[in-house]
Amino acid sequence: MITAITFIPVLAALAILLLPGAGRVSKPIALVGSLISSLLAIYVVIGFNLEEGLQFVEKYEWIPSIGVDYYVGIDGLNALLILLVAILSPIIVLASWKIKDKANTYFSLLLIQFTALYGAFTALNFFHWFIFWEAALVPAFFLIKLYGGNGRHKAAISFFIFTVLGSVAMLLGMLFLYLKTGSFDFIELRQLAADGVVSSKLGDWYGWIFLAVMLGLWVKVPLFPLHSWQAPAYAEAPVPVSMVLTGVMSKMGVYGFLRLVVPIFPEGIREHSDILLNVALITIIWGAFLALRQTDIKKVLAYSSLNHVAYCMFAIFAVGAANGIDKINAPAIAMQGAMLQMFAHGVGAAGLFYIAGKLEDVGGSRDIQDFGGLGAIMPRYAFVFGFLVFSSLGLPFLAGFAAEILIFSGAFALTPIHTAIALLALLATAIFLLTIIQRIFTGQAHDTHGDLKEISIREVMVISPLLVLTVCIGVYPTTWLNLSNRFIETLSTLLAG
Amino acid sequence: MNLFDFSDSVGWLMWIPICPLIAGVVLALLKPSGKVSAMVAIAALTVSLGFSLKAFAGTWGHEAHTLTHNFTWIQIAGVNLEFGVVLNSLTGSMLAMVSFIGLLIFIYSASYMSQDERMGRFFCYLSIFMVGMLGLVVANSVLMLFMFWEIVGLASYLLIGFWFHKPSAAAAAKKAFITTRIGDLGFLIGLLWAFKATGTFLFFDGGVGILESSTIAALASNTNVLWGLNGAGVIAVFLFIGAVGKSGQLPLHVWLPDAMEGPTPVSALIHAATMVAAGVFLVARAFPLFLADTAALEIVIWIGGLTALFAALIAIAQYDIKRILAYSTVSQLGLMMVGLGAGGLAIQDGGVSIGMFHLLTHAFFKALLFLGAGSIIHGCGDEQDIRLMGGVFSKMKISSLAYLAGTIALCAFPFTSGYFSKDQILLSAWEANKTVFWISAFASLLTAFYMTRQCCYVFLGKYRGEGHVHESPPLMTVPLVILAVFALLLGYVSEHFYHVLDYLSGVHVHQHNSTVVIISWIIALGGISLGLLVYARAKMGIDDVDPVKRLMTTPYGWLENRLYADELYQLTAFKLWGALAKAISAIEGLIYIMVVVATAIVSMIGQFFSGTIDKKLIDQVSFDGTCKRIYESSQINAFIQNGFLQGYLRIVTAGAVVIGILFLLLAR
Repeated sequence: MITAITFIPVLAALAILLLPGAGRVSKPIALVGSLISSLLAIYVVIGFNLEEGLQFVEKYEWIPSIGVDYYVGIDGLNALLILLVAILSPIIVLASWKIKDKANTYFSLLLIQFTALYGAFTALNFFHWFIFWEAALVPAFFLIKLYGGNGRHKAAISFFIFTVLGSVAMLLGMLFLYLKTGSFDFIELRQLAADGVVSSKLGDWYGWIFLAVMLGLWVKVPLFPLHSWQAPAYAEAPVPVSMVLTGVMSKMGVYGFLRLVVPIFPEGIREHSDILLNVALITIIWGAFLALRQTDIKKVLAYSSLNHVAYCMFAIFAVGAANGIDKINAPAIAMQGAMLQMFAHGVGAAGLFYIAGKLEDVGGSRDIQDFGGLGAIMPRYAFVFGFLVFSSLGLPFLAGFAAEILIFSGAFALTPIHTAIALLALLATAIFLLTIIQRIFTGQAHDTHGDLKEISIREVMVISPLLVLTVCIGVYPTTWLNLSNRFIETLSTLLAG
Repeated sequence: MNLFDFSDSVGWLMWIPICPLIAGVVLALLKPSGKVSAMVAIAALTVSLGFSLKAFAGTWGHEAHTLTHNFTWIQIAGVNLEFGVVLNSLTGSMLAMVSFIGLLIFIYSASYMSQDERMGRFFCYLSIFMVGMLGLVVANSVLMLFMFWEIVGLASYLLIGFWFHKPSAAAAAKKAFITTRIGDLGFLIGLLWAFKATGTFLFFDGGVGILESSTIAALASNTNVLWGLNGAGVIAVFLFIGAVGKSGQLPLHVWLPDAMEGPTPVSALIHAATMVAAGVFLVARAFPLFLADTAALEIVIWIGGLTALFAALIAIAQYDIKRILAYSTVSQLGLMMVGLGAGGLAIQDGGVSIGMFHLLTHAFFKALLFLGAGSIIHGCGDEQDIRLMGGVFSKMKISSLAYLAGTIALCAFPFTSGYFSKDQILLSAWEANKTVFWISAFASLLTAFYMTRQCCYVFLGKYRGEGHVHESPPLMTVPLVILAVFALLLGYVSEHFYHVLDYLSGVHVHQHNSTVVIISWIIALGGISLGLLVYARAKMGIDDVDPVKRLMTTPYGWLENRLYADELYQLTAFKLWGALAKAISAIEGLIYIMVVVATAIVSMIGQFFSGTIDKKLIDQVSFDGTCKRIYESSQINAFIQNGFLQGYLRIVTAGAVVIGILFLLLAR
């Protein structure tokens, strides 16, 4: 089943490229391909038994000589993220509907991207996990490079180089680990770590390997100071690709931390929790304050994304700073907050990029200073925009708040001063987001805005599932949290020591 | 959560916020016409009022009872983050006041906004506001209270900026949201601290809630947790920071006068009677935490007292009828804080009723004043400058009489509602802290003075404007008359028919001190007389100099400029914040240069290798060349034949070789 979910998009991509005449119907093929995968994935996640661990497992020997299996499955850690990909992928295809030039290449790349994302989130063996991880990079690179904005070349190359260098470090680290332990299997490695085999086999190398593995994820999340590739890439990518990058790819880094680093190197995180916590805190503040001084709306959102994803890392590292489990089980609360934040931010940020992208479509500019008074001309657009903005700045009963309050409730109990400082970012977020609204929507409409069109019903249809989801997550987060509850309870206990 | 059990449990209290929520959603999705919208919103709020009166009746005579109904919002690893509703006299009285005044203002708005083409949207926002306000009143969980508190903030933002085509309204909306959010961060820390320390968000939970005696005792036994406060006091102080933001106390008062950019019914409902009182309500709700640490109570009375004086001074020198009332609100909210703090210091448990009583009476007479001001502004052709009014009394008799009723209540004229409630504050302050007493007394004297000044400007002399002054329609004047009756009689009735202080605090409150009573008579009558003396015969046109200004030109100028609070923040906090953002941007610029350099070096190395080694294999192995080819051919073979993929594979292969060698070396 999972294999089918993973490879249906790439089959659709091949169909577009190879079948004669299929190139002309690339859009419907892409939509159908991504939709089938999505429906299957949603079906699987609904069927996920909350009382049990790993499910829907498929495990086949692949290269037995080096212990490589094709090993996929769903557990509490990836269920929500698979759901995220499933929800976003058809929406992203729909958001791309207006692509005209070389549409078949575009949609093939997009579909390959989806396969890589499903693959990376379901893989339980490092070998093919890494293949998917890298494979996710390649279509993203081409999509930015070929279809992006004016600064696309530079943005694509620094995106590529940063992430590849990070990946190489991670690859080296994992290969070393393999040589010492003889396993590529995440589940097995986790057990080996729990038994103390990993640390004893690595010996003095433990710190270096920990660092190397972390480096790839550090770039991917990203965390300070390896974050500078992010804003140009997000800003220059075509809007649907920005949605992929911010909605899903930024979660791969966090997921990688929870899948690889936390189970295999918990002592590493605990030992360095001070530095790590400060790094996450700096990233939080950094993103929020950088966004304050931007007028390019996509850059603002990119920095805001940097800030929001860093909350996840902040929560994880705060758990690393814990001393065991207290009566409110703060580690589990913080880490569940991180899980929900991945989902909530994925949904919300993808929506924001989509809706902000409209601005460039209709007004020909990404600079918020070029707009004014749109509230009167485009009330429907203003409503959707405002809705997503308030979710992003943490309005209760919308998605962002539910996740952040969990992160803060947990993290404050574990490390109050860091958390109190992190709250400053909430203020900065409110300032830059409301400034955007003030600039774009209020005041008198500019003379040049006379011919601007309200967003169409089709666009509202694309965005409305995200709005509904934002409310569902915010009002009753328990539904989503239940998926990961059991897994995170164990994982946070492991990390909290 | 059981919404339909009306006998034992109090889950049905949730209907009170849910009714306007339904109205709000209906209005947002169906977008009916303005009139229909108003009717839907009014109908929903009437149902809420019904439930609120049921809640009020349930607490009447049962002041010591606290009924709760709790339910789980989130469950993680066996730990519950809970919501709940609570019914006690605090809830009952607030609910009755908020829904009743809310309903009157809704009715008034149906007429006031009838010319506005976005009237439907207006009632949608008002309904959202009522959801938040009623929700925070019934909340039995500090987290839930905070969430509804934020909804209230959203509604306030939307309504201040309702006429967003005016840049000043848009700016005021943003300023209000952000300034209150500064306070909210304090609130957030307070609630996180409470959760950390007690393991629950619930106020009352069968003996283990945050506000229950055993928990408070445990918290207070932790002395000197932070800044010399004990474990309860520190939570109290952080919650108070939230209250400072919402209730416009120093130093976060700057947003409230600007909020007058919103339509006048909004000013009456949100920025006078209810939302700004939410901060005071929060302190009242969390009162046991404050009681556990006198230092926290001291902070409350000092902030409150200074705010009361500061705002009353500024109000003397304003000319915008709504701004005067706004500063008056800030000042009165300060007095409520004094009431709570001093009450707590002087009579412990009973203290909560002192501030709350003033909150309730103030809600009626201040809503009345704002609605009256709206009616007068309406009548004078949307003029807000009192120098361009004058002689309004003879032309708008109902509105003017109602306005005067509100004025004397605000001045604490003997036997009006304001007299009884302010008296209690001064009595407590006398016992608790003489300095704060004199500050509050002076602020009250100024209150009587500036209100008399305003009335002289508006009602006396000849009309100085250019419009055609006319009385407002009955839909607007009827709510005024109802509110006027309450403003005049509420205190008298509640003092004699049923002792409201006992009701509000659940303990018997008895304060008496003849000196203070005499002083408060002197304040009210003296302030009014002084005002009449100065202004009754003064020239008050736009070109005339205010009589007080003639006496004290320089200090009056400071007051006209609102004591430069905004300018001070511009020069300090804004600068600091901006400098921080600038510094971070500058460092980011440096990091980015390094990124560019690194990228260039890596691409150069790549190009060098591909350029020299592969010249014969592939013509052009640059990123651009390959991409161009893919872009142009759009064929599957482009993926296979392009140099990029080969180059990439080559890098991977080379990497693998290097890695292999490395491992061979290491493995030995």
